[in-house]
Amino acid sequence: MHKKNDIIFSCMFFQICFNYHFYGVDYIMAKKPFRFYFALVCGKLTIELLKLLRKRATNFPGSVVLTLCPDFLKYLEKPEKIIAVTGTNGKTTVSNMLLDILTDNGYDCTNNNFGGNVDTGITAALLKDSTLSGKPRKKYCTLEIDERSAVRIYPYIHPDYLICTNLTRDSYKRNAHVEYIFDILNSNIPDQTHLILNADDLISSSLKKDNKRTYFGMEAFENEQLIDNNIIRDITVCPVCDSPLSYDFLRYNHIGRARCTKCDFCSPVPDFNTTERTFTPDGRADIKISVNGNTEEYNVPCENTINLYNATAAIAALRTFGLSYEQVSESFRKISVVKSRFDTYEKNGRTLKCILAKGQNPVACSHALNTARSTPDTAVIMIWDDFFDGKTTSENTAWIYDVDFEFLDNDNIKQIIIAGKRSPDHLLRLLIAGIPREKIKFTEHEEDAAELLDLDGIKTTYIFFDLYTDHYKEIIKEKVKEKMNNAD
Amino acid sequence: MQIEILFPEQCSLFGDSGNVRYLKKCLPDAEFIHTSLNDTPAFVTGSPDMIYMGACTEKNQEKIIKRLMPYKEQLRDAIDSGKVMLFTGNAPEIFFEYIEKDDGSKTEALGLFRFHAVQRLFERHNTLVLGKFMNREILGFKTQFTQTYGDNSKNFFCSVERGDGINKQSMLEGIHVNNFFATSLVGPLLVMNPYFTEYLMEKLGVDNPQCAFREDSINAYNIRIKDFRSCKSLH
Repeated sequence: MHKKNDIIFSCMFFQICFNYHFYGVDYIMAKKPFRFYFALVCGKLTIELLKLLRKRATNFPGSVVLTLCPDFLKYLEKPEKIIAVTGTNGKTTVSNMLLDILTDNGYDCTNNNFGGNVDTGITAALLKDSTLSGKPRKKYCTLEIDERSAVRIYPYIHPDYLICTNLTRDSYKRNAHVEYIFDILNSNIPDQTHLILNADDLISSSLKKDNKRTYFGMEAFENEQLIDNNIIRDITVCPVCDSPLSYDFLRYNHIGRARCTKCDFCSPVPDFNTTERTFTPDGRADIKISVNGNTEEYNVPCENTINLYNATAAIAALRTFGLSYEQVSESFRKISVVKSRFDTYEKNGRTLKCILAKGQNPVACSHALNTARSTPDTAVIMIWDDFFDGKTTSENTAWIYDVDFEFLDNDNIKQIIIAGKRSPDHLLRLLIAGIPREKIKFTEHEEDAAELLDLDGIKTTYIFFDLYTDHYKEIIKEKVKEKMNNAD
Repeated sequence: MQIEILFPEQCSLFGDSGNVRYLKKCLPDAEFIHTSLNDTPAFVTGSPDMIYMGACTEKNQEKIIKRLMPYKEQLRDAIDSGKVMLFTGNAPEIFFEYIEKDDGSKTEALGLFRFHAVQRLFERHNTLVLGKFMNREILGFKTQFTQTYGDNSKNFFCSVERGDGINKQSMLEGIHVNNFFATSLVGPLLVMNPYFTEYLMEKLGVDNPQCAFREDSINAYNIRIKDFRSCKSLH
């Protein structure tokens, strides 16, 4: 082991000497400052050290590099083609789809799919696949980019294609409101970037009006359960003349096809328009997309209509990038949704569904609750407390008043279990939503949630969890599975 | 009883609609009037018993100031006559003299109070606030781009124990004149503060006011007070 490490470090040292010998002063001084190379080498050493310690890929090498050289990204050479994904909801799913399909078609891509979508994570991803002279090892790159980080990313990284999935309300503490995030993106996205935009989102579809753009969207489907009664709608009047908007259809929140009742402002026409969808029992869907008057058919790993936007966005981007219909279609058949985001278990006629929804994000949590509206004899377990806030402060739970807990005020919902320190606040929210007190149980301790579940008369149990409460979800899931195995 | 909600489509950014929904549960017989941006406010055409407005975006705040400017005197009369008025988040700023922006420019506001707000769009301020109003704890959160300046030593809403007042140097939060309450605390202020809600209900003429889900509400309130006092970080 030690010998192997010695070899790695010796090779790195040799490469620095080699670069210096052949490029001389240029290597040290020209265009790129010394601090850049110093940071580069330290970053590389950090990556090797993490490997030695058997730690998984993290933002940490990026943090090291940006501490030593804050404008590191300015000097690092970038891959030839960059496809990036931003937006409030769905960007991780779309990024995963892009990477899987590009890889399946022989494109070797630098990527940040390990989860770091802010400047440190993106730096770590590019650093990992760069040479010691700061050149990219790979020609292609897919990046998930946090929308709030636009100020620190786009001055240095100019994506050839940028998908914006949607812009909706997110963490109040960090993202404030949609208008604020829109302005950040609008003033930082490079002029030459080709945008892939959601035609059904009146907010994000208005980004960078003069940029080249391709729109994706979805028709209102036959028998689709449209949600026109969400609590929040981030655009309510025409942005041009302040008159009320009229919707051809409203799918959820402000997502749908709209027109102004007074002026000619309206939703753009999608270039990639999903016109039909049929869900299959394996959690997938067959969809038809209209493209330039032709119809393309895909089988995609999406278990509900809202997630079909992610697949439609990925298809629009990949086809615009240059992949053929056949290439995208064949690859899509091979990919599945990451289990940690959506997981099901069936036993003795009962189903357990674990669904990830970003906490403090009212739209994502409302989507999750919407899935529980139509399943018969349902129990819901929610662990949505913010893990980090819970450790240091008292979480601002204002966001739960923008979540559609009213969706649970249905006869099919038999039990609701809330777990976590903030459960008394969630209890009040559920009562205000009209849910009878006797249906609700709560505990301060997440691990105890399964004990409160009574499977008698329950066919479907949901566990809704946040990204950082995955460990609690696993504990609860195992206990519920055990109950299901032992039940009649 | 009539309660006017000003511009609910724009002014419910941080869970503020929770206040309205809770009021509906507390006052099931009250009539709620939802005034849109292009409507003439009910306090101009009629006489609602209470006016409420929540937080909005910076651009909408400017639009709202323009819309309300012609009704400045009616608002002044409402405050002077003791109408129950609650303005949360950045809604109080519409009553100030001006809002100063990042570039130093100033947006003139209604000028009913000698205060001004300083807006810094890259300095988001988040904090919890534990204060006291009429010998009862007030709990709330701030999430904002602005700091307020002016003298509220004689007309503050609550004195602050943890967190901060109208600005980072102040320990006095908000404005309270007659039955006019203005505070930058966001979200479900009324849900989080059952005793304050009952105080407002009393001001609205309710005998022996009892807020909705009282037992659970007071339980959550007491847990939060302990939490606010003991947590390490304010944000």
